[in-house]
Amino acid sequence: MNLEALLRNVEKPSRYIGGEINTFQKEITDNTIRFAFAFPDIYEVGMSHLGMQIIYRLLNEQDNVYCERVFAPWVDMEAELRANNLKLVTLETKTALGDLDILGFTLQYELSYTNILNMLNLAGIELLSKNRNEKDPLIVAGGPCVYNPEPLADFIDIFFIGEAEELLLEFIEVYKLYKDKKISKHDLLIKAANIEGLYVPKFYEPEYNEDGTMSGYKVTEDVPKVIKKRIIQDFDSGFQLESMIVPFADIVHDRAMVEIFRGCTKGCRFCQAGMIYRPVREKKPETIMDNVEKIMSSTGFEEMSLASLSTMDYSQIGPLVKDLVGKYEMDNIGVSLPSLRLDSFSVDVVKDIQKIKKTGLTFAPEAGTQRLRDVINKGVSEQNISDTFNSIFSLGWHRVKLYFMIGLPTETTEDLDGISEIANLGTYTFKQLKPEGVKKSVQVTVSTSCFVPKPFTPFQWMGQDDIPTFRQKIQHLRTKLINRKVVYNYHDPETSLLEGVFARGDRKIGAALLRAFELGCKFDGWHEYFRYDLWRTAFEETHLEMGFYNTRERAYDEYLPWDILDPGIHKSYLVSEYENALNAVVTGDCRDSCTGCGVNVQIIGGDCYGNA
Amino acid sequence: METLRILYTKDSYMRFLGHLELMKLFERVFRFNKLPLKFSEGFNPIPRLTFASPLSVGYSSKAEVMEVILNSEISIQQVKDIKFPNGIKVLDAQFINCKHSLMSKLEFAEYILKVEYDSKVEQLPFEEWVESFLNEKEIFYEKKTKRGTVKAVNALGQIHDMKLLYNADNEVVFRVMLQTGSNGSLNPEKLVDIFGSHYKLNQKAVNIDVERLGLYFTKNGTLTNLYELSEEE
Repeated sequence: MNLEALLRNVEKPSRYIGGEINTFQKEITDNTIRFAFAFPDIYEVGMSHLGMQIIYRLLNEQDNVYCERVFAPWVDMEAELRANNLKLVTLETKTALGDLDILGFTLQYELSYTNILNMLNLAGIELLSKNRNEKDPLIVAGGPCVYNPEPLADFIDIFFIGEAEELLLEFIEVYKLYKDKKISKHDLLIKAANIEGLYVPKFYEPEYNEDGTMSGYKVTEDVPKVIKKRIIQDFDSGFQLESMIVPFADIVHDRAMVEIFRGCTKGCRFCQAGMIYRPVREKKPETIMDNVEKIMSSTGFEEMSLASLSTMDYSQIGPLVKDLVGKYEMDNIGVSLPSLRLDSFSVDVVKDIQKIKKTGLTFAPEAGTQRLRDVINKGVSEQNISDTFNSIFSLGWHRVKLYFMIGLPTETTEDLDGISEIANLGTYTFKQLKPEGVKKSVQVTVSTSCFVPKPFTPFQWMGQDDIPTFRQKIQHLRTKLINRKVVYNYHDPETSLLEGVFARGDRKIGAALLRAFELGCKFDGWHEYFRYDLWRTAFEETHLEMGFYNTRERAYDEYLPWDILDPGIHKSYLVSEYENALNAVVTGDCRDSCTGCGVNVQIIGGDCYGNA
Repeated sequence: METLRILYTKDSYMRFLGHLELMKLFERVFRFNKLPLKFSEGFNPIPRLTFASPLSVGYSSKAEVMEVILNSEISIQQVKDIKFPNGIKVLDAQFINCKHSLMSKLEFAEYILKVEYDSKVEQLPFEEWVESFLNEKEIFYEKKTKRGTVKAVNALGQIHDMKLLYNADNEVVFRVMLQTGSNGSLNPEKLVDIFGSHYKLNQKAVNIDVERLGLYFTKNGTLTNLYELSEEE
């Protein structure tokens, strides 16, 4: 059976056909470097990812590179491929992955790692780097999870640490030499390892103490001792995304995405993105307006989203939103903001956007009490929360979603009770205001997720809560959140504990990952496919203990698997931030005054943001 | 306010687009080609696109018909030049002045059905079967109504024409004209099923490739392409 016949038997076949608006069909010659951007989740998730859109265009604008796409096939498609002995192919030219030069996976979340192995397997490619030779494609990876690459170090040839725009093009230059057979695969890897930002794990052998902790890496070739992350220094004048692929299937974020700045200055201590994407770099409003115009006039999207880690913190967000709404309202093109701060300023901005449809708003106080918000350095005060409730309900909204984390350091029962108090404050404020013209009743939705400590954050040393503790906390909240106008949703702890293992795992757990894949684990981030029982078996059979990686507290002087990387932030800064957290001492926004994380010295060689 | 009617193809990989996906695609392509779209009034303004008959996922078509309401006329050449993904092609376009809706006037659809069986069928008298099949008065099949109940429908009342085009090895190809639209529709795959069971075929259809050739209405007793529908009808 061929691919077309098989597409009749699967759900949503448009996931696999390619040919969307703004995709590339390029002539392929002997000199074409054939790259596949591989997303280890389904089309709807992968196509919502801005990084994919950036890299796709960046590479395809190069003359001798053809970048295609491949996503994890859904289980029905996988069954059809396997039953018919067909290999996983790219969307653009339906080429089997094994026939390409480079496969680039993006690591967006730890629970997609089994899908990477599954995709390689579906393409008939050897999973372990050491079993692949010059005939096989090079397997590379980038994305936020590469800040602890070790769990995947046995499978991936090269990790891209940091922002890939410039890095990828430098790497392609070196790859050309290999493609022209001027250098061997070994020489290619050596040359790559000497490009700042590239980590070639096979040249770094982990060494362990008797207790299983690491003592360091043995560097086996003439390559850098530490791998420094790469960033785009001038975000305003570098590569600009001026068009996007317009997806067919109803994807998760089905709209134009326009990145307005990178990095974040808030300094929330739980947030890995806030640490690793430093420093903040904004685009000028003119650049953004220009990007938007080019994207809208080549895609036809009916909505645009201003993307960043904390959109409300863009220095000119108010005027920008006003300009965009003014310019695009006539064409019925909407503007959406992905995340709102809990303050009345945010509400002011958003009220211009949602003039007519006041559906619902989402905020993230993250923790239930002022004390715990100070611990995590989430700059939200009780006053902010109550002001926000007041303004949104008076403006006509009646539904609000609140996100919290449980399992944060120093958390007590009082902090959990605080979550319920905030929810009750919401419904109480609404009743007190009795907003005119709002016929519907108030609804507050509380969602809790289980906190996962991440590398290169001040919480990288702490032990994660175990499953019984998380269960107890969830149970406690269930008994507390009994207000009829409050809905409580919670994430199960098992997936977070597994995420915790991979977030801070070492190279040894690659064996457990491989075993879990062999036992049938895939789509671990999808509730219906997550098999914690199989994962436990995989760890038992490989004589590894999950608790060593997730619930164990580390000492400051322990060598951590990711210490081979340098994201620009001093370890001493992370230590002092952890100490501040334990004492509930807040650290200010670093736009106001430099908090000394080190990124200005390590990465920029100058000031970060204006004179800060 | 102007109504633009478009005749287009939907084949190769594009036949795997679902109907909602197809509508979204048309909307976006019209938007970035700067067609002066007329939007609906209300909380959530949407452009006004109507499609004559949704095509099942996997079916290809040589001649689909859709309409879109514009605020002002634009050149037909501009419409014909609109580039869709490979597989969707604008064959023709016209501004029309016609109160009838495409859906209410649609009566028939013509299909090519390529049926692949699990074993050889070339020895079977398909030619005679088609002839005798069409001479039957009634062959009932069960159809679910919108309310969820089941009713018996006479398939022959829904078949306007049926011809055998080809029969070799495991494959049979028919050309059929079937009722479709608001007065009832016969699904082409269902027809293959009814036909097979009427002649107690042991072979099982493992793959049915459906291609729609056109959509029709009756004009002065003759079948006419729906794209030609005008005010006088």
